Amino acid sequence: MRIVALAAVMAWAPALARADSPLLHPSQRALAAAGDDEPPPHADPRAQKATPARKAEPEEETPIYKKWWFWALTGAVVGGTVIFGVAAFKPAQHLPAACDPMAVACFGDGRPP
Amino acid sequence: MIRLAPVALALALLPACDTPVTYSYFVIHAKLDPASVDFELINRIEACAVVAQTPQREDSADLRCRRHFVTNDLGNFEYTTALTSGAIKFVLVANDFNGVQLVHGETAPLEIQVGKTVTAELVGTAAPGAKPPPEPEPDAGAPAGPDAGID
Repeated sequence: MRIVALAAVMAWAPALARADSPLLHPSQRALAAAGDDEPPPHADPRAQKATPARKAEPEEETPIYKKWWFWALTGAVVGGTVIFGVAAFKPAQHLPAACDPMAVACFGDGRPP
Repeated sequence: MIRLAPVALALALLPACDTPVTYSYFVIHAKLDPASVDFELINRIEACAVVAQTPQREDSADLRCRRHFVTNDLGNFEYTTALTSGAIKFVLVANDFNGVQLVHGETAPLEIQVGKTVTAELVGTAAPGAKPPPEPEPDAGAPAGPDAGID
């Protein structure tokens, strides 16, 4: 009896292995019924990186001189320059006439201490 | 452009702060009175200086005296002031090694002549107490010492 069953399975094996066998490829209705149980589709990160970035669509930009930060920056630079110039300004020194080289001492206003 | 107008105005006004200065000069000849400051006193002078007394402040300068190298003629010194009015008096002092004043002299107040040079002479004389009192001469009749008369 066992020998007969084994022989039957071996006789059916080529038929089961065929590509269009309904045993290995379930029907469309069976697939639709089992759709909720399928795992989520696998997303390959390498494939995502490889996809080129979408180009930003050109927007209608306002001119730079109409932006508040442009004038704030300009004012800061100009104001800082003026403040620095005023702080570092030294009027031209009016020095007295040169001393007599034979003088033993030469002192007073405009003379080095 | 309107925003930069105050900045340009401020920069244009900066040179207005620069006012010219006119100096006045004094050339003073300093010397020691030979009648008052003898060689012995001169030889004790360690340092000498001059002080200019202005209406606002006092300035001083070293006349570069070196002991044993001081002569009666201390040379000329020059003083410059930006003041436009008032008078300046110059004072000469000379000290010994211990800081004791040996010589003193001063000029009369000299009027400032704006933009011009005033010349004057500053004569130093011996300061009171600079010279030690002369030692009393030994009495000719007194014995010379404790051993006098002993053979």
